[in-house]
Amino acid sequence: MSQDALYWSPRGGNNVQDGWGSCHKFTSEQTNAETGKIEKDTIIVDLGQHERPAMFGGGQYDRVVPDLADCLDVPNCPSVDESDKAKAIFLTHGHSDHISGVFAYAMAGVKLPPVYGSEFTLNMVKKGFVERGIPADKQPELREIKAGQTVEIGGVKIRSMQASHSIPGALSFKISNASTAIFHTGDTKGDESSYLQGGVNFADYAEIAKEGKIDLMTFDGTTAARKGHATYESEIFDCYDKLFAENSKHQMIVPLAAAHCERLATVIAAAEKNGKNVILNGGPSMDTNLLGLQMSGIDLAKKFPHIAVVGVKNPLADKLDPKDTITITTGIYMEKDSPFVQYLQGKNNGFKFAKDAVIIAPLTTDKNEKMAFLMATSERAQGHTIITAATRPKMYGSGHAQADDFRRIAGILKPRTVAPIHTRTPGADDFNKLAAEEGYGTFPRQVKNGEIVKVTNKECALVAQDRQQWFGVKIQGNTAELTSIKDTSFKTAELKRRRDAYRAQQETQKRACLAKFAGRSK
Amino acid sequence: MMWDDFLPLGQALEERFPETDVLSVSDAELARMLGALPMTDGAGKMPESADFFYQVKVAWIQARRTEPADTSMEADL
Repeated sequence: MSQDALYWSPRGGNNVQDGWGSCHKFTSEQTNAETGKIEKDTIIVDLGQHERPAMFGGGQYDRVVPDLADCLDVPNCPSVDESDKAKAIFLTHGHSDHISGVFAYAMAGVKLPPVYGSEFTLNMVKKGFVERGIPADKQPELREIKAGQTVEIGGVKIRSMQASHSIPGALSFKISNASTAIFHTGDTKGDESSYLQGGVNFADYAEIAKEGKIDLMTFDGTTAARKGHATYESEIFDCYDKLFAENSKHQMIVPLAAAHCERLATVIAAAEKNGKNVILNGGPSMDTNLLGLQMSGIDLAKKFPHIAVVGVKNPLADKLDPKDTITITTGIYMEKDSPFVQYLQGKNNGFKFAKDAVIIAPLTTDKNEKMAFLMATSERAQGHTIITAATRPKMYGSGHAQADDFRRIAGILKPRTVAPIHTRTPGADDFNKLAAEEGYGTFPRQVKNGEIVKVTNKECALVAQDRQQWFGVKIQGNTAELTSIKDTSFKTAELKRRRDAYRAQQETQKRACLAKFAGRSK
Repeated sequence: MMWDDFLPLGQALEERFPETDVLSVSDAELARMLGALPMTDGAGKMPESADFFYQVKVAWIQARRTEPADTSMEADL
């Protein structure tokens, strides 16, 4: 069995400039003791989309997704040998940068292998099929995997573990064959608190550590090099609890991100503690996520029984005294379908906004600049008290690990080698430095998309270097055409120039927004 | 009409019952609403699974969108 190995190849998310479009290919190679033949089993973990398609191909694509033509039969691409085909796709959680590639491939007519995920994640996938009008015969089979469950795909075992992220149903996966084990965290932080579905349980890590050596841990590197721990939901609860008590005589408006369901529950829990009813008015994006929660057995009205938690169209919402309510809406990422955003932009959409209403917005200003700009300039926001994370930093918490989370998780799992995922090159470099200081084996630099790492029970080695590979997606109705993007090599000067120009434009916009917002946050 | 033509069903529901709080509609109520739509006349037996009603509700909310859905799952970075 000397040739036994697991191969890890990031195919999206380990980008030079950002962490979008997560996708990882794992291939097990094991020698059959009886036949002497090498048996290959390939699985994919996450199949997301890049969230900034405008950065590619001059902005001609509707979507950009990882190119998996080497393990899936894609129209207009060479057919794939049966032994190289991916046998399953495992989804860590339901954010679009982890699942939306599934839709693009299905719309392009690619026959996908079974897709595994938690109940909530699969409900988000079903939601995506409906929203895009993808017919049943183009959809892959969906199979639920519960936290703690192990699935065998050929000679590979995939053991799931509950992760802690800003969305319920997030999972980490241990991927192993007879000789080798990789622990893939997905997006996670080391937070045991949760007001929705439970945070991470460190006893789970200890269980996995007992099962045997982890040869490689691919770790959420988004913010892992930052000092301290990622803000826990319990700390965020405390912040909102205080804010709600301080402003209890006013109607309060709390814009969040529609997809951050954990935060939604944290805010409702703080409202319940303060005896405030909650009106949910986040528009279609929030409503479909709430439906997904309901479908996964999470009913917020039942979870918080001491207050009313109602949708804005519920007849009860009109009967509630605004001063006794907290309206949770969307908009911190300037979602276009946010009723709050549309109201501030001047649309008369019935958004209830008392004259003395207080806006409590978890804007960190460095990534919510458009909303900050809108609140600073909208006539309808003038005269209102606006409280942001600039003055109450615990109002916001990322769903990604920081240095202390990494130390704690790695300290239990004791992986021989670690590598960052879901981060851009500078973040990866910082993470590698941290991991090396903590005594873990690291790679000398970021393992980039398309590169291949051979993992055995003796060593982890970069065995193949390649370039980033993406498909540009052009959508027509409920079908899609996938086209290889030729200009994505990080060595391409033209692409670098374009990306730098894009980032410079973003910076200019950010500075303008922040200047407008200066002095408005109380 | 096929029962898995969710988007046309959602559109028809929104046109017929525009101010409905979709989040609080029970599956039984939704079945009655669907049965009241002219487009379901002559359709075969309505599916009864929770999964079916979930997908109909998603399509109903989709009919209220004025913008693409993808921002609903904006990643947490």
